[in-house]
Amino acid sequence: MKMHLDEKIWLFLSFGMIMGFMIFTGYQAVALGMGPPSHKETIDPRNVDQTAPFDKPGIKQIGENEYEVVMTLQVFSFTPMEIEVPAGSTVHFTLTSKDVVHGFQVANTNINAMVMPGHIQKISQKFEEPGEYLVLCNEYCGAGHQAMSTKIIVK
Amino acid sequence: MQPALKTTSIKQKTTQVLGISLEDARISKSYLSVAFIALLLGGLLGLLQGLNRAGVLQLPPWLNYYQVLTAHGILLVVVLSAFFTIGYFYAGLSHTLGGLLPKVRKMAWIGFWMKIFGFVLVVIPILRNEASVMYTFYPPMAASPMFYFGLVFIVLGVWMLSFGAFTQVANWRRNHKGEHLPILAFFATGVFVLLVGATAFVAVEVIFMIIPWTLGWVDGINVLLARTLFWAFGHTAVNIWYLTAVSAWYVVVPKIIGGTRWNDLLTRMVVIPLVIMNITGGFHHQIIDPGISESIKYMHVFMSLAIGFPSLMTAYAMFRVFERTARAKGGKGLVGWYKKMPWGDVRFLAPFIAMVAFIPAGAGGIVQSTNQLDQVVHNTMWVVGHFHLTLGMSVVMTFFGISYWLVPYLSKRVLTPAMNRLGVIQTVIWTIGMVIMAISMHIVGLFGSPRRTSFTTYGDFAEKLGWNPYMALVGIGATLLLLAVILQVYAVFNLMFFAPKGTTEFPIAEEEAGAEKTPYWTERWGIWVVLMLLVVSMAYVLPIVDMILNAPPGSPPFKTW
Amino acid sequence: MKVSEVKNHEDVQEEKVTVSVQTSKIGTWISVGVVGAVILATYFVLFGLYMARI
Repeated sequence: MKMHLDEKIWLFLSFGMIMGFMIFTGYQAVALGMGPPSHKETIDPRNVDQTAPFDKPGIKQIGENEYEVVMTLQVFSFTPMEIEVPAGSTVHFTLTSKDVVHGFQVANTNINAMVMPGHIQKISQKFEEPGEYLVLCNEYCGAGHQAMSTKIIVK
Repeated sequence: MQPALKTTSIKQKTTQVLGISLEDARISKSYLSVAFIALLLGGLLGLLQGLNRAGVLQLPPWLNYYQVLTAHGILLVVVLSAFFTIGYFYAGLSHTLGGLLPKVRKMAWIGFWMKIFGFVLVVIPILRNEASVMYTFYPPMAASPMFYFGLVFIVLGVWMLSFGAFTQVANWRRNHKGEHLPILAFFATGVFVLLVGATAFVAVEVIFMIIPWTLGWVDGINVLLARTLFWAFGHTAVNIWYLTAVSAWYVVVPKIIGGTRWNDLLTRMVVIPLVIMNITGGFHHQIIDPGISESIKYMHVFMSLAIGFPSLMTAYAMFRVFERTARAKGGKGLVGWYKKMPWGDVRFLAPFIAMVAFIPAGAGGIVQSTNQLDQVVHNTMWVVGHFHLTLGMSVVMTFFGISYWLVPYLSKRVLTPAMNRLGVIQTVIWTIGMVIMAISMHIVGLFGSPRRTSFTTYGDFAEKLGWNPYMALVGIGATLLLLAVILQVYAVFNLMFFAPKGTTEFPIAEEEAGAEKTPYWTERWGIWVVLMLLVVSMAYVLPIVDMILNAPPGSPPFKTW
Repeated sequence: MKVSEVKNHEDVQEEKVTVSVQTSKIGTWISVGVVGAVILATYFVLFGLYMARI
């Protein structure tokens, strides 16, 4: 094939760079457990309120500086609403939707996950800096989508 | 190759000498007219959104933000792009393959009216606020069934057009045994193969999952599976529009700058992998979805990034063609030769800016698909900025550039210097508007502002997170863009009906003198399609079986707007 | 597509020398260098934010 040497060099370098990014994120994902939220449990979307753990949504301390938040998302709110944790704590969110597809995003953190009816999603984040964090739905979910937000208060 | 010249049919020569036949021209003109009317309406709705998000315009309840956004997406991503692509490639097939066959013409018209009929069915429920589900229509949000029936007709229309194109190409190949398909027809074949492949997924989603469910025949839907089928279509669709633009970069732009085409084999080697690997790219829209394992997602990161490879080849090819041409014209210096490019010619300027826009657009695409890095930007305004660069600049500006010669070619009129100047002004305004808008969107997305969300302050968070100035810039960008849209639509219809009569060339660049003969294996479309199906099955069989076997109880339909 | 080969026979000889041997590729390298730099910069923006927000 007629490909000049310098084109081959360019393709090798540029694609190699992209593969490098991929391998590094792969290393973070596999070795350091930093992969994207991909929890695989399912749930009956019509009986979320009757199914554990979503029958008792809320926040629970599970260790020193470690909290578990069981949360449902529904048009156009989060249950529980405001959450308070001390600075330096790691929060593990367990989420599901009671109706349509929602997004769970916390501004200025890496929390960004799709929350779908029938599926349980999990994502964790360590909150170091005290302050108020905006929680919002980032998947269009209906007429009140822009109002679907709450906050996490880190003290 | 010498005998090839002789066997070129007389009909093919007459088309190339006398220009396009009236019947073929009418087909392409109809498609382009619909495309540019869609641009006008879509652009107007875009302005409403931009002003709303800037916080200066409250939309009335009878025309709410989400209704407007649904229509904006469908008009621009589905109507403008598809109608332009079809109009352009049908003109290209007519020009390079010796005029359309009568039955192909008939298929083009049937396809046209099926698409229009489908589109009317889609628009009615949107206007009545019964389908504010965005162009992604993720279940379990359920629009009025009419919306989905409309989509079915649009898909059937696309198939009709694809089979029309295949008929035309097959006929040519039968009469030109052993010859290479002319390069523009080669691109067209790739585009129509992908169109069939991509729409097959959305057809399955709509016909077998959504319609029975909205009609109440089944009471639950597999939300994750529907999303997956949608994105197998959705991402491929935008890549098809991109491949259409790329065809003009390789085939048309070198002619306009007075140069020769990039190596024929390498050009075909860009089309082939884009066809084989494209459909599997859809999964990277689901990197943060539940219900898909991390290993499947990681495999798909590779499959998505692999699509970047042909684009890296394109980047090299384009710059090489530019430098070669400019230096042949006496261009000097490290980059000083760029001065030799025809900057005052809108037919070059618009596609050139389109290519430059693809540098950050492609870079953003690569990085945001890199596994967990998606969490930084997923569903934020960053993504909106990304596809306004890819579609709003790379694709659409190439289409604009094409329109300044394609429309007069079809209408047997000419591009006057005055109209060219208007085109340059239009290109500059569009570029400024898009750059302002896309940069602000990218930045505000990094600050966390979500996409597809009407104006909201989130208490005082919008202020605290520093979103407001960028949203104001989005509004300013949208205003400039509407101005450019109006100029563009004016130019198209002027060139179609009012410009001075004359002959306009369909610019197709020649190969470099003394170029090596391309081996014939590039023409083995059967093999490429089989490889495409293999790659698609590799990518989708396992996750889809998993989604079906481990499905949660289905979701009932919701109307939440 | 081979019309040019017949038509511009003299050009062929000339171009073979100038085009494939002497034409500088430095401009192409600078241009694709910009492409590479933009990809790298974009990566560091997103990766940097990701790491900062952990």
